[in-house]
This record gives sequence, structure tokens and C-alpha cells, in this order.
Amino acid sequence: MTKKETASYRLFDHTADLGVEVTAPTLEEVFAGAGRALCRVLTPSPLKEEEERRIAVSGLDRTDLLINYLRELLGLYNVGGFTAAGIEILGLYEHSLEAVLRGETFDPARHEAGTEVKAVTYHKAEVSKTARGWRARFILDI
Amino acid sequence: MESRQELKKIDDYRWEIPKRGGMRVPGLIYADARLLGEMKGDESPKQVENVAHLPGIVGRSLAMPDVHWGYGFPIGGVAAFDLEEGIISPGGVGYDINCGCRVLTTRLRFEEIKARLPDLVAALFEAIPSGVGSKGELKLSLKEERKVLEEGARWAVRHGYGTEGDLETTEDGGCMEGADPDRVSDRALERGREQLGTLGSGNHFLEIEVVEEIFDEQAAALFGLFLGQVTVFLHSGSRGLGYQICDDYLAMMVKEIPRLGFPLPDRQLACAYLSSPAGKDYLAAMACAANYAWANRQMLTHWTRETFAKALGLSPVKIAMNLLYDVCHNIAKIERFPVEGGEITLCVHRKGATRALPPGHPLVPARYRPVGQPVLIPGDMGTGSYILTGTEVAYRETFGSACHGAGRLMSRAQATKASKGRAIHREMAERGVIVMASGKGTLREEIPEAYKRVDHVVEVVHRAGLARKVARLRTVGCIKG
Repeated sequence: MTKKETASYRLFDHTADLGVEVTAPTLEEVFAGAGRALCRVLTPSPLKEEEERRIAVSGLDRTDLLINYLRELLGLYNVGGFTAAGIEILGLYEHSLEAVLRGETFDPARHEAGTEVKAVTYHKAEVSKTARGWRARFILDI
Repeated sequence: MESRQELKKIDDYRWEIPKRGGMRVPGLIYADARLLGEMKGDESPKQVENVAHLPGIVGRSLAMPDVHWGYGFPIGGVAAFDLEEGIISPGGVGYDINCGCRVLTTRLRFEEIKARLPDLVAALFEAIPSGVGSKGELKLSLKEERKVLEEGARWAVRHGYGTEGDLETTEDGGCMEGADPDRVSDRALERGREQLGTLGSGNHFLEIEVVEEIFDEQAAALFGLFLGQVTVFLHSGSRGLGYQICDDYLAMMVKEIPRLGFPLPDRQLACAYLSSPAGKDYLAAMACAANYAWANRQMLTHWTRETFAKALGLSPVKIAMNLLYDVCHNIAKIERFPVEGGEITLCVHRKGATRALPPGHPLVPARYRPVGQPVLIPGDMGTGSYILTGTEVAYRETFGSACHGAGRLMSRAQATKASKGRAIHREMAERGVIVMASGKGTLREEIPEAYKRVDHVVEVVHRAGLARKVARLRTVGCIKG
């Protein structure tokens, strides 16, 4: 089973698009939460954890890493329809991460199509330390 | 806002951002006082300034009157770069490469079809695949998809989706040179295979519009427009293939930022020198997406023609649905423009901006040359659209560019909130517009007040001299994704 969810996220406004802000006590949880938030935007339907995918992503820094990781999730959805319900960050470093995604393939008969996301952008993207833990912000082009 | 205080008024419709800091050229915003006011809280002037930092930029970093906050480059931004010293930026084109518009004219008067409008809209909704992740009727083989990417609308016409005449009135003849499918990722190709011949979602649409007002009789006659005429206005792009190409190259260019040799104010501005392998590769991949979008709009056109004939029980000859013009509004083009007395070849980025070439320009279809290139400006679903022509002023000042739409005023979330508890279908019906949408939330997000008034934006474009009004169209039927 995927670890208990401790991250919380909220959606915020951006003129043409959709912003996401995730907060959690640890950086790993922020990354896991950001991934789940993106998947919820793609489909709001409940998902089973019946398939497993392992991903490895790299980046110039934490923010670039976050964007590249979300890009990977979006890519898996756009080609093949895989969406994650549970995300476990196996290892998270300054320039790379590894994660296990558990979810299923989007099926229009059972799942509701959410918002079409064109891309995860760098616009105002940030990963920062807060008094209580970590926060990530990013904007989806929809 | 900091950059607002720096705006220097040139005339009622031109506001300069003087060169400061690392800006290589000044910025220029085309707007009146009201549109400037609507930019409050928006960082688009700052984005115009950021674009002015990029190497090889020529003239000014420009913003059209419908400018709003984008990613890296503002939406409504125009910037031209020198081929030797300049850059090309995927973010300066946008994710939806060759998102664009086309207008189809008919011989029908609205009065003739008014009674059957609900059936016609329903039939179009049925015939045109739309909505989130919609898939087309044909799943292309990889080999065939590569041909689409190389040939664009020509591929579609070759396969029976339209006529040679359609290509004459499509920007670039519906095919951009230099497209190389080997520069496109497997992921992009895979996304493209299923989506050819689909409208998409969000603000993409197909509308039935009626010519309500004519401002320029000569141009209207050349464009085949008359009062009370039924037309079709189509807005769509390169679908997932284009988004993926943009994002693939953006990711690749972000990695190279440290090696560019100059500081970038925003990662979303990631770019490559036009003369570099990365720049050339992006241009070749971008051309593939441009061609895909043209093939896509051409196929949607074909199904629209078929559906009109079937739903109205009229022969295609009687309907005579001709392509008035097709323009891209998210693109980078290699074009020649006058700069400081001479004429030079430049890479013009138009992100949410429409090409607007003047009368006599060789790239304007021969029959329209006396009046200039048609410029197609859609408004919100409850209002309608405008057809204009390009001008000498645009040729000299904006690298032959004008605005591309009304521009968003409210975020999608704000619009959804503002429409809470309202029956948008009924409100639209009361305004005389029949709407059908695939997505549950689309109509709420697309309510008319979510956009700037297209009449006002177009008036500013007209008065600034960037394009001249020819006709105003009123929406009567609308299909959204």
C-alpha cells in the first residue's frame, strides 16, 4: 500500500489557468501530494491502485525537478491513460528523484474526464521551506 | 505596479516601456486607457519587458490590445529576432502551436435556415469530435502521420477533405516549409495519431455566425461577404501533438540555459539561438505541429460542409461553403519586414497574435491583394467575431501583426463562480445563441463576461491602424469542447 497521505493542496486562480499549491511536513510528501493533485485535475474519479509504474526524473534544481516529475505524470496520462491514485517517493535528492506510482488506466466508461491540461509550466513555480514544512506552487496551462 | 509607472504615452493607443536595465529594445503596448486599466494586477507589461531582454530582438517587444498574462511571453505578444544573432523560444509560440482561426462563407441567408438552426447545431455537435482528450475517427499509421506533419492541409485535400481552392486562402497554403518529423518525439507522435480531426476543448469552438454589419464594402465584396449571410467560424489548433512538441523543446532548452551566455529573467523564456542545432530542430518540429493544425482545421471544414448539406437537405453547390481565410495565431514565422530603411528576414514570434499583411503584399492571396490579408478575430460565444484587413501601419510597426481575440478578463475559476446558479444555456438562448458543449464546466468557464469586449479590442486595433474593420459577425450557434 501507498503511504498515508499527509500533504494537502488547494487550487488557486491564474487568469487563463489553474494554480496548485501543496503543503506538507516533508519535501517527499509535498512531491507526492503535487503529483496526486495533478492526477485529480486530470480525472476527479476515484481510482484503484491496480497498476504500478516506477519513474526516475532529474532536474536542474528542486523546482525544475518538480516540473519534470509532473511532466512525467502528465506524459503517462496523455499516452496510455495511466493515472496515479497513490504515489510513493522512494528517493528524493537535489537533482533527481525516484517514485512508485500506483493507479490505473483511464477508462471513459468508468472515469470522468477532468480538465485538459496542456502543460505544467515554470511560470511562478517554486518549492520552498516554510515554518511548518514545505510548500510547492505551480501553474497548469489548461 | 512598477512597470506601469514606466509607461510613456506616445498617442492614445501606443504606450512605450522605455529601455532600462538589461532591455535590448523598448517595449510597446497597443491599448487605450481602459484596456490598460484592465491589465491591472496582470504582469503582462513586465512580460513585454522580459522579452525585450532576449538577444537579437529587433525593433520593439510588442503587445497587442488583447494582451494578457501568459507564460514567459505574454499572450498577445509579438517579437521579431535576427536570424544570425537572435533566438527562437517555444514559449514565444505557445503550447498550442498554430492554434488559429478560419472563416467559411456560404450563399445562405440566415432567414433561410433560421427555423432549422437547432437541428443544424445538433448535427454539427454530432459530426465534429470535441471535448477533453477527444479522439478522431481515423487512427493514423505512423507513416501516414509523418506525411500529415510534412504536408499539412495539402495532405487533407489529397485525401478528399476539401479542395485546392481551400489551400489558396490558407496562410502559407496550409503547409509550412522545413517540417521534419524526425525532430518530433515518440510521445508527441503518439498523442497526434489519435487526435487528428478533433476540435479540442476549452476555448476552441465552431460557430455559426451571421454577417451583421459591414464597414468596408470593397473588402467585404472581395471576401464574398454580404449582410445577413451565414458563415462558419472555426477556432482550433494542433491538439496534444503541439502541446507535447512545445513542452519537449522547452524542457530541453531549460537544461541549456546555463550555457546560453546571458541571464534569463524567467525559465519559461527558455530559448535557443536560431543558428544553433537546437533552434533549427525546434523550428522543424514546430513546422510539423503547424502542418498538423492546418490538416486538422481542413478536416473539420470538410465535415462541416458535409453536415450543412445533410442537415439542411441542400446540395454543396447551393451552399457554396468557401474558405475565406485561415490564419495562425500561435506561431513563429520566417518573414521579411522593413527595418530602419532596409528589408530584412526575421523570425517573428506571434503568441496570441494574428498576421495582418497589407494590401499588395505577395503573401496575400492574389484576389485579396487590393485590400490586404483577412484578419480573423473571434470574440466570446455570446457576441461574435470580426473580420478585418492588414495595413501598412502593421507592416511597418508590428511586423505585420494584429490582435487575435478579445482576451480573457476573468480566470476560469472566477467565471465558474460568477455563473453559479445560472442557466447558461438559457441565457445564451435568450441572446439568440444555441450552444452545445462536451465538457460539463465549459459553458460556465466561457461565459461572455469572462472576456474583454471584442468590440472594444477591435476598435482599438482599428484606431491604432493595425488592421481595418471589414465586417462584424454575430454568433447564432456554438459548439464547444
